[in-house]
Amino acid sequence: MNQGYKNIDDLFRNEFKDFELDPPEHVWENVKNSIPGSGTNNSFYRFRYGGIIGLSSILILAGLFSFMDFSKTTDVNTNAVTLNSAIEVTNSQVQEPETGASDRENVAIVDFTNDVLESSEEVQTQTVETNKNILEIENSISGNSDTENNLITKNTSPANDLNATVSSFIPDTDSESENEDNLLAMADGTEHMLVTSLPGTHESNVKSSEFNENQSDGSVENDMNPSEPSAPEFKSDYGKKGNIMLGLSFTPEITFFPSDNKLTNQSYSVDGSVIYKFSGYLLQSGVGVQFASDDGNYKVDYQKFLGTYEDVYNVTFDTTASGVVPVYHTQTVEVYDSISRVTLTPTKNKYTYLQIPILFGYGEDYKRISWFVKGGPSVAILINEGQPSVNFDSGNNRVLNYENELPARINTNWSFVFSAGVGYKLGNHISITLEPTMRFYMKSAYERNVVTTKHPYSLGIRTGLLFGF
Amino acid sequence: MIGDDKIIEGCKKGKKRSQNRLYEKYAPGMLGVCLRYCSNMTEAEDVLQEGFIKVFMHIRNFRSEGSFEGWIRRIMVNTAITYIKKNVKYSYEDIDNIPADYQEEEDVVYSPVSPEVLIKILQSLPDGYRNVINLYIFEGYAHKEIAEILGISESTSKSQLSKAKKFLRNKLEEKNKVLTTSTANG
Repeated sequence: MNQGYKNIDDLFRNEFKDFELDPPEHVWENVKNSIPGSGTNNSFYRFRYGGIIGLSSILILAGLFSFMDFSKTTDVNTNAVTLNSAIEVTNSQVQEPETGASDRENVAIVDFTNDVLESSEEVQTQTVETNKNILEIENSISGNSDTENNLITKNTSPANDLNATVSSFIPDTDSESENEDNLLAMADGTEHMLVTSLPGTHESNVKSSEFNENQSDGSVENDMNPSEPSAPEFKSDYGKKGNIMLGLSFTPEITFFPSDNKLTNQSYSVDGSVIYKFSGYLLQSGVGVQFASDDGNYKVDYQKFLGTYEDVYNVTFDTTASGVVPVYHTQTVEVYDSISRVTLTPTKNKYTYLQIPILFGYGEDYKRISWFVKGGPSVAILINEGQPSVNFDSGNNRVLNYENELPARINTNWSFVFSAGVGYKLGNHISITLEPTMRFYMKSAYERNVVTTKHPYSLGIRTGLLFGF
Repeated sequence: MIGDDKIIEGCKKGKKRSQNRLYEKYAPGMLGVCLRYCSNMTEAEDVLQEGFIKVFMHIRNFRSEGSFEGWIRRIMVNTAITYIKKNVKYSYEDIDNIPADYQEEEDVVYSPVSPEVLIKILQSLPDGYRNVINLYIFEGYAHKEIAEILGISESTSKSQLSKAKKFLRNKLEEKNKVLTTSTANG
């Protein structure tokens, strides 16, 4: 245990060495509330909220697409094209059937029909299943064209139009099927299943049938199947219903601050977008990352080092044989110029924003070229801020303070984006776009009361690729 | 236990959790520092609050070359001195008549005293004197530096220190905490 202190300095120094007191709760509460940007300033939270907004936008768009139910029409058209292509080949190979052709020819045609039907498997599994059933029937009665024709005549299934088209070229033979009734029953069942499960298939196959009729030089009559109900007239849906596009873009941008010409900064952004297009109108959203930077200075406040001296902080007296000798206790004291100096060192702050736009617009497509105009709100959320440390070699000088002269940026800023652009089709599903863009900010990107600029604007050129479906 | 470096990095990024950790780690010690400079707990809390706001506002300027605790402490001391200069009217009347001839006596021993008692004694000092005592004894500044910091002359700093020490010794004597060697032995 300490028995006492020789001087008052030691008493105070030692007794206060580990002195601590728990401050009351309200102090931290006040500190917390006074720190700018605390709480929501956390980049994780900002990123999370941005992600939620972006995801919600995408889900809303996806919901819209589902609700519009345009995908079915697109599929049917695709099927029709596939089937037509295949059938065209079939017709060209059977354009001049010989009367009384042998069973071998029939088998060949049926085999080819198999190929044709298999080609549609990628699109509609159920249709293929149905056709396979029919083809199994056909195979089982190979060489019996009467049976086959009857089967096809009774079937009003649109899936069987293809078979009808092909089988109409198969010459009659005298052979009979042993299981004709059973086969008919099976075919009826197949028809039912097909009609109920694939309503969209009817239209496509009717179109196939019509196409074949035109291509076969009248060898196939439209009333070939009297029992078939009149086929609805096919109308192209191209450009009428909506379609979806995905975009990937890069945008260099320059931002202007009208009331402060010292502040102009450049930024770059990369974004992915989802565009829903219906009757020429556009609805676009997505998520982008913008990289911006501010050039500025650190203001370094320092005092110049002048030298040192030995300061006598205590004198004690030793009694020696020769008398009392003073002992001077000294410490080295560094001396600095009392005048503070200021120097500026350049620095560059870097910022990363998450951008989420919701844009509306209108556009028109031509054969290769398209044009469009868009506009709408966009939110930018600061998700990362990089501030390099000061690059100043103080040497022996005493640095009193560093101050980054660049104003702090706000965490969230809304802007309105307007753009007009053109697209060029590189292929069936891919286009390249060039889109001059103007962004009008709701408020300055910087903290209030730091920079007086209001409503900055930016100009950029958005270039990218569009993938259509 | 998370190190200071990670806490500082977190604070530089504005992470609330890091700010809370930093506060919890250093606030108790810094309140002790503030109490030494201030005349009561309310003032000390105000200074602590203002000091920590400065810490968080300027933490991005902290370079990890020196002691982080020293950096915070310096901010607290500066804040306390500024606070006192701004809010407190100096009054030296009750100590002005004390002669500035204080010298440690060799045969004197100071008994250990609890910090709470010492705080009370310190707080009974006029603000200006308390500043000099704090800067000299606890922060280790020389008189020239104290003179610059407080905006007084070097000789004033010396005389105030001498008077303040005498004042403190008188207070300790009142509490029977000062013993002469003969008393202590006897």
